Amino acid sequence: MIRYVLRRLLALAAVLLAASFLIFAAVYIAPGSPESFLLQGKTVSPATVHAIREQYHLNDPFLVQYQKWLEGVLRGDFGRSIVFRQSVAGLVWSRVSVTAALTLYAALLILIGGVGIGALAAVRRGAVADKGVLIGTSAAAAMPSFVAAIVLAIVFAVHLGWFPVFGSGSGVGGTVWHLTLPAFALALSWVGLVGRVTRSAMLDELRREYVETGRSRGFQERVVIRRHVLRNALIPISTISGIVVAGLISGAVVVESAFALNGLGSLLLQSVTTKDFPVIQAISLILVAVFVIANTVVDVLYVFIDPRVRIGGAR
Amino acid sequence: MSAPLLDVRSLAVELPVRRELRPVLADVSIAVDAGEMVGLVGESGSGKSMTARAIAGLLPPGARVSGEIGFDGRSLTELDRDAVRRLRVSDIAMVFQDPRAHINPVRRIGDYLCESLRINLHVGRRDATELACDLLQRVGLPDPTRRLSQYPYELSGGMLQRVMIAAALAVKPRLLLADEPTTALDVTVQAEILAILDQMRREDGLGMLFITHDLELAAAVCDRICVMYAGRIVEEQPAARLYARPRHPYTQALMQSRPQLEGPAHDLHAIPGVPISAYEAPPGCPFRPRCPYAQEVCERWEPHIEPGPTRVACVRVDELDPAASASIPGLTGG
Amino acid sequence: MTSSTEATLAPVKPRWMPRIPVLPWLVWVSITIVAGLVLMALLAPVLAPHDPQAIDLSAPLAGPSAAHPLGTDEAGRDLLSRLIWGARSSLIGPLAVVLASTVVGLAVGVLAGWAGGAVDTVTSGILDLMFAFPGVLLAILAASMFGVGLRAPIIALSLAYLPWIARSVRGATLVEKERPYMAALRVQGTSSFTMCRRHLIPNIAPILIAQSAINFGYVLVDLAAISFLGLGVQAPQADWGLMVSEGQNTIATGAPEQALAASFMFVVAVVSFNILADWLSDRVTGEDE
Repeated sequence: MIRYVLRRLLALAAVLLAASFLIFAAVYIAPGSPESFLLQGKTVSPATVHAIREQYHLNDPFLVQYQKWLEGVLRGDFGRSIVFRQSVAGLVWSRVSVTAALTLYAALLILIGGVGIGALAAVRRGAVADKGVLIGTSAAAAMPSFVAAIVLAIVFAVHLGWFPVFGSGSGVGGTVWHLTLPAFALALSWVGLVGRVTRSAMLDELRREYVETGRSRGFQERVVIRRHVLRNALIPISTISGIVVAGLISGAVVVESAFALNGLGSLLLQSVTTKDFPVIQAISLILVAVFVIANTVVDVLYVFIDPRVRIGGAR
Repeated sequence: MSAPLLDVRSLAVELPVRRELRPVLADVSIAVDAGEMVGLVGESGSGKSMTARAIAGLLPPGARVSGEIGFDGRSLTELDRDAVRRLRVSDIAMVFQDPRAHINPVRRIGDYLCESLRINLHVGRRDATELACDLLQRVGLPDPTRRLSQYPYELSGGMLQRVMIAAALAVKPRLLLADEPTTALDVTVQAEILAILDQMRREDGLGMLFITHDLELAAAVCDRICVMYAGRIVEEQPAARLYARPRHPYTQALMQSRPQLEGPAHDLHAIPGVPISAYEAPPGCPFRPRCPYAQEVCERWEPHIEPGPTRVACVRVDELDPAASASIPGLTGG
Repeated sequence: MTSSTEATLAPVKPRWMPRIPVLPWLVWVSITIVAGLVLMALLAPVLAPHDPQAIDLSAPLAGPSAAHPLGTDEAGRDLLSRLIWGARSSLIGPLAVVLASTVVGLAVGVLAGWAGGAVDTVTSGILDLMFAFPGVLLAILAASMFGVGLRAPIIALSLAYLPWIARSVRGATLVEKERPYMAALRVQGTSSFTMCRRHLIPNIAPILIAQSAINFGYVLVDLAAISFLGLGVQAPQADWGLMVSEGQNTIATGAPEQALAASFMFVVAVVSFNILADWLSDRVTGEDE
């Protein structure tokens, strides 16, 4: 088992390394020479050009450049923004909390909301609650984040005025209030998917014989549901976690743009417009790293959720 | 005479199937005393598993139950679902047929064994683990401490069945309902499991209902045997007597259809037709379509069977086997 | 992301639309809608009452009228015409992505599954790397490198969805490869290429089709999101995602029609395509989820 975890960690490191290499090499893959690409035809002072060459070590051989860049990244130094002329790390750091708060808020909604209504529907199969959930999740799943953002903004912000349309707010309460619509917009379609998967997974589990064993031992129904039905349903539910995490990351960019939140996503978009490539590289690397780490965590947890995978291939 | 531990009288069960209620059990009466092993024998669809579930209160919602289920003097049919559930905690225990399907594959054996103790009976972790180890040794599993941390996939079917029995005994039940506990196992393992069950019966005074489709097996281990067909009891006798001299045509046919080890080889004698469930029963005696002795009177006969230790549900039993009837006092039929 | 080598039994990418019990009438409705959308895209020049890019600053944000059944946008352009023309870019992009990712994914998956050994390990490693990039993120990166427009995002998304196809195909190939008829063919001296072309691919086609159909829905959403972000289809072209973004400006001032209309078209398209994809997937694989 330890070997499985180690292998996953090794794979994680390998993918991160390769991804970082790709992101680094993007400067070369892009059309034109690295310098001209980075400067994008802006007229800048020779000092700036020199600074760029230094930052990217463009005078060194390719692999040395990569090595130095990587070393910088691991130290937390992502270079300097061409547009803002300040450290990229500083820029990123000031925005991370918004994106993190948004994504975690949405993730919480998905977990509690999605799994919750899926479980409710499964336990009350055929009843009104179940039918309601079926319809609701189908509707929700058809609303990707930008559509959900628009609809929620129109209904709750413009018409009802319950929530603000733009901005990320300050302070804990203010932030939560400001991030509520964006988080819901981000989470909506995934709540639909997770709800349905949970429901069908639990319906599957409810038919299993070991659930009957649990009942035959005199456990209350909710104990049986918790210890055996929901617990085992986690297996199929966790298999879609990768998609959901990817969707959260992509969706965060969209939602931040739609609600004018000053998070990493909107910074990324802004940087594309202003052609501030060091920032693009940094944020891309961070998002990819978060994604890959999240998936690895799920993979490792999966072994605890389903010990049977240890029989095949893991040892 | 003290009341039997389990006293089922005229139990009838109907299950909801696609908006209608279908009978699955009719007029089932069984009694089990403490320390007694009663066999319930029948083919698929006969209702034997359903009987056990009805006793334990594990029928699906919407099931209609009529008749009497007496446990230790109390009437289970009058209790609400929650009260019956509490009885399942430590008075009535069940053992099922396919242990691998009936034990949660993603939890450890120790978890399975101690679950009920810890959650229902609030036994502390260390005590529960100790108890679990003792039980595993009692059912013949060596190295119990290691077993506790293993997962079901690491154990064989026979071992898992022992674990299931151990878990059932952990709560010190008074009545054990064993639904085909050895069907999924090899013959040699079967014998070991049966020996364990027998030992429990004798040492703990456990009352057991042993459900099987194997008449021969039941005859070997049970004190009494009830034979079921189409949701009804068709015959009940002390085991040895049933084996030597089955009286109901169905029981006789079952006995005859066993392959013989001795004697000259001959074609297997099969009962023509297929076994039916209660709701498929024709008017009159449910076995009539397949019975070699069927006559007109069988179609008009309202099937019933008097409760008692020796009984046969056949309207023609007296004429078919008069000598046997005469020699058994208190026998009623027809 | 689970490594390819360990994920032979991993499920195909889950249906976007949690599986609705597919009733025949629902499928018929979806087919009709999809056909309608395709026609709309093909016949846009004929169907649209106005030039979608014709600016008329004298009548911005006009309500519905005889001349403009759905009103106009901020620049006075006819909304209905823009919606009709929007079908083109909204549908062609995903089609291109699905075709590209399917063809290349098939080739890569068969190669990895069939050849096995070092080829498989290396290919699976590369796929693992590709899995690490969520589609939209890769598209943003590509847009920053190669400029905005549909071209870069289409290539990026093709690369992002390729590994899903490749992994399914690889898994199916591994299973199919071991079937007895394959051994028989091998004994007869059939070349690997022929075996793949004439036997393997037709047999794994169902899984391929199912996965591609499901991917279409995901790509539809991704591309629209990218246009929404301003990195895909560019103004003054008409595209649903772009229109939603343009319509955002006027929501706060009480004129949500453009955003809602474009959103509505989009959702209808997504739902219909996904219902069809689920139905197709069930038919072709003969499975019930």
